[in-house]
Amino acid sequence: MHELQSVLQETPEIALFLALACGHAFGRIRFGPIQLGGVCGTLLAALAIGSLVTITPAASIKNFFFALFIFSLGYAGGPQFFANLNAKGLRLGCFCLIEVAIVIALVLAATRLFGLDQGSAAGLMAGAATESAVVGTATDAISGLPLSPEAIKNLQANVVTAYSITYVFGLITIVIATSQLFPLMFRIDLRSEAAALWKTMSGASAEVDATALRALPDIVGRIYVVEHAAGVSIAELELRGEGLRVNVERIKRRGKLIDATDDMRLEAGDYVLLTGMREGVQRCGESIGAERDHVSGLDFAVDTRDVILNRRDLHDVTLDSVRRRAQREGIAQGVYIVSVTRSGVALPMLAGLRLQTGDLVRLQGLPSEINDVATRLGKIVKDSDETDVLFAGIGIVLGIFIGQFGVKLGGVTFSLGTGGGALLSGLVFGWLQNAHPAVGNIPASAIELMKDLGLSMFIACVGLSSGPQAFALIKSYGIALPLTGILIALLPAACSLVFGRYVLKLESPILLGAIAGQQCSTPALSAVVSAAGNTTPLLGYTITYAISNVVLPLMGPLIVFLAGQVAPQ
Amino acid sequence: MSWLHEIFARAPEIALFLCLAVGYRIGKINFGKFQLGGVAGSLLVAVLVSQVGVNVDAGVKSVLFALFIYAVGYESGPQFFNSLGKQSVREILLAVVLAATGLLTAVLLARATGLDKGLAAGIAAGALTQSAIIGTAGDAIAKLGLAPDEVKLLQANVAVGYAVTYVFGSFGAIIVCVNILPKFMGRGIREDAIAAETAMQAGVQVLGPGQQAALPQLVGRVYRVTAAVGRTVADVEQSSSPPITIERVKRGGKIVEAVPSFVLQKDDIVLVVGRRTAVLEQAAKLGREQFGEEGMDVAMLRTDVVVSNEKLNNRSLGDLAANVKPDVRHGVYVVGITRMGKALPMAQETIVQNGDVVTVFGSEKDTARVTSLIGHVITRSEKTDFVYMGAGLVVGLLIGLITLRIGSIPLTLGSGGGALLSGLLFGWYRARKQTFGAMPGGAVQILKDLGLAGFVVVVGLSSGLQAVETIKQHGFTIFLVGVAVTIIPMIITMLIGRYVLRYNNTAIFAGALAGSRSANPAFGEVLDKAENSVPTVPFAITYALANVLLTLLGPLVVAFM
Repeated sequence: MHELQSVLQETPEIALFLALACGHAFGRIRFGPIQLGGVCGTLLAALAIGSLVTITPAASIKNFFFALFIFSLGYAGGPQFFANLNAKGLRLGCFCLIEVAIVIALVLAATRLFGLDQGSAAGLMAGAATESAVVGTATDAISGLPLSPEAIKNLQANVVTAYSITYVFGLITIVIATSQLFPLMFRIDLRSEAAALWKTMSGASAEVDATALRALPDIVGRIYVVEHAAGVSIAELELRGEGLRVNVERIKRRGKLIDATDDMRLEAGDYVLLTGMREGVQRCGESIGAERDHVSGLDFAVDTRDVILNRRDLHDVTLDSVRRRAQREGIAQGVYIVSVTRSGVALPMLAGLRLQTGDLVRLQGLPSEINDVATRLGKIVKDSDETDVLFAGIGIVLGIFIGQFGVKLGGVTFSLGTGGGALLSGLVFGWLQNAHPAVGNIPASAIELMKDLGLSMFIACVGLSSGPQAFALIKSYGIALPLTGILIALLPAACSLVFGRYVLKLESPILLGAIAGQQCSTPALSAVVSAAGNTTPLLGYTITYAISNVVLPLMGPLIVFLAGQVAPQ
Repeated sequence: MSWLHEIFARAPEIALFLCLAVGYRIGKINFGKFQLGGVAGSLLVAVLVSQVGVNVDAGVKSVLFALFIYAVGYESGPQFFNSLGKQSVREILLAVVLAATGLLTAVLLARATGLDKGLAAGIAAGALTQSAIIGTAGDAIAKLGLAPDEVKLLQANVAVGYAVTYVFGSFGAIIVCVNILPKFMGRGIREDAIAAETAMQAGVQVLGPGQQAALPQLVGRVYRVTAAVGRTVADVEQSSSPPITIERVKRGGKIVEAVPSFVLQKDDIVLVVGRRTAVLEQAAKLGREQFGEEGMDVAMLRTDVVVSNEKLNNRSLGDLAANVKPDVRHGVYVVGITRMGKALPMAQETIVQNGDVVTVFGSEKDTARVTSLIGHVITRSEKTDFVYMGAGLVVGLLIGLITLRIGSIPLTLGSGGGALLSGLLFGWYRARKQTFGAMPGGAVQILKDLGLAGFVVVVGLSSGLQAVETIKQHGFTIFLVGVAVTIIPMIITMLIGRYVLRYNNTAIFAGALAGSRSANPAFGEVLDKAENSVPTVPFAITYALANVLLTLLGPLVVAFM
């Protein structure tokens, strides 16, 4: 024990990573439909380790990972958040308003009633609303209060303790309420309603997406043996696709591979590899001779590039004329446009499709030619694992910077803090990157990592240093905190249910999904989805989630401020 | 200036992220064909910013470095253990020779010129462009039992040595691999790359990421039934070997379900999917190929599955193809098998083992049926498995605490070496099992970038003032020693590679040499010259080895100085 203590104190990283591993393992354990999740698990593990060994991880670890986390949270939610700022999104946005208003009112009432301090009040809100990000933003806000370091540390410890006590109760309440209690109370047959909704929505026939894997891809390659076309030149042969592009890349003549040139003439017995649009290749091939399945050496690799079209002279020009223009200029013999995507939607590849600048064009073709063509069309989007550190770094710097500025409201300085600032800059940068894919690049897995690792490490730091005080707080409030937690989880959800059912008249699966989303509760969503039997609840969930995910963390600093005002002196 | 100072004092993280952002920008500037790179760029900016005065506590440094080095190990693990075999003896020796000569040159020259341990380790880090040495050497210095002030001075000197020598380290590797090596071998990279490609063409075609074959194995075609009138779908499908699948039938303009017992009539339109050979063979027995039939396209899935069914273990592909019932394998095609990330040939005699990843192609319904029989579907999640990662780091840091004594010399891996080792092991085990412990490419990359650059920034911020002093004093000596440490080991390795290890293909040798210096920019130039992926294979092997060997030079330089 003593040994362990000295090891952990000497190398506090071990304690941090230990809390991370144990916490995420514990958070994965299923209790019926309930899973604690990695963040709450990490906190419990850190509190446990922290109460055994006194460890104080350096403040820089906490701050660094918090900034990473909160920026990534905004970044990941940015595109969805701005996309939902429309009539439909704002209608469901009412749920988030209900959530925020009722939660704040209840927390403040509890603060008054039980004489909670600012830390416990914020922790109560974070736990009951099962929104772990609030722990971060509230802790951050507390560090800006004009108090002694000792008092600040106490308040911050209270945030995590109150959070960890109420989180479990909040989680269980919202899962049971949305998936079992509400349907039962309102006699909703969730399964059949969801099935009916599914049917009405999938009425339109499912077209095969142009970017998906297809049984009949547009671009094909086939090998033919020359029987009827001896004496025909390559240039003439390539015209036999009747307007559809066909290319001859290589020929195998008497066992030798030859690169094809325009004026070369075919001889009987040559093997020809045709690539191009399916129908063109078919037409052209039939005029040559019989098809062969494999001739060694003729196969070659084709590359794919995604390009953001930025040529103004190609704006509003049809696909067909782009192809013809390329042919006239003698470029890009072996490169094809495979798909065109506009604001995330793959467009049908019709000859009359008009391109716009900003379209995402996918090219396929010879490795030697594709880069040339791609750079002529616009900017190549790299599908890379590499994060643009400049882009991310500037976003975080701006965020922290914004957070430093205070606005005086009625004598009280109100600042966004690192939390609010970086969240805001993350939102904007995420939206910007989504709208202009050529700007910056942060791969999804990197964002996920920064978000999850950032919050977990932050929470672990806080947990380790507040371990010793956790038990004192639990003793002093007893059963009051858990009970309030249940109430705070239940009441906003119930109000939203009534509002959604009688005022907005939403279908039940969407409504219950939206209620899960207003609390950012993924466990509740999975419970609703499994009760509904299909994924229709997602339609409501995604919208409220996108909004709540941004709004709830911002409530952290607000509740710290308000709790300070209402607390009995 | 004072407002800047005040902001840094209130939120020191802002200085950290600022150095990262600006450093990466500077690292991207092209000087000719050469770039500084994000890590060196960040260090420079940090030294500049530190002149304003920033106080970042060092706690975050060790966490970031542990994350970085674990990610490096995790990424190279599968390749590293795969390379430890008879088939890559040449590559192993090449990497070992380079690391050993690098160590010797650095230690001997630093002693001769009277530089201290810190500078010597820094020169090794910079001149061999192995930035991880900064961390492992710093670890080792901390364990020497010196006064805190002296430790801090030596650690700062590591960063100084690195910063001064890094630029030539990167540049010199390019010159040796791209300019000197072809002259020495008497043949160009491009011509040898073509020669090697032609030799390889006989075997399995290797496609780079994002590439696909112009003649894919599996094809889909649409026919109008003329010859197969009166036959059932099942009959048509099973009469072919290898099998084909009728995915969709259209009769009188309406799509009808292609159940096995469905009897084909004249002028039915059918969509056939299967291997090119089989489809071509069956074409004549079906009818005529059609152009542009509406509504015949079907979405297909390509799914990766880890084999875990004992009944499949140790059986050959041919055996499985012959003995699996037609109604089980209907509509599903195996298009690839990989073991530990390496593609196996798709031949009849290839043996399938538990833990192999099989890629199957087919419609959604068919693949779902078959994948559950094979094993676990690998869902490409963007999530990192933190239980696995955290456990790996704890194990690694604990290993790093162990100290062995040989005589009076204490030998320890340090947290860097420990985390590297556990990263290698955990990465390798993950590649074998596939079902847990995920860390996607983007996550590995960000840990490597943020971890190392963040670490270097904290070092730079805390030692910037002193760095300027040291450079004024020893700058030129450090630079010259750096040039020597860059060039000499590579030249020796080049000689041994040609005359002892018998490398005779310039393209392959250039790849291997760049890898044994873990010199990514040099490799990029080699690839550029080769214009195909021939240098990639030898590079990948020596690179994985060098990443480990060179990183461990940190403690060794410190110990032997």
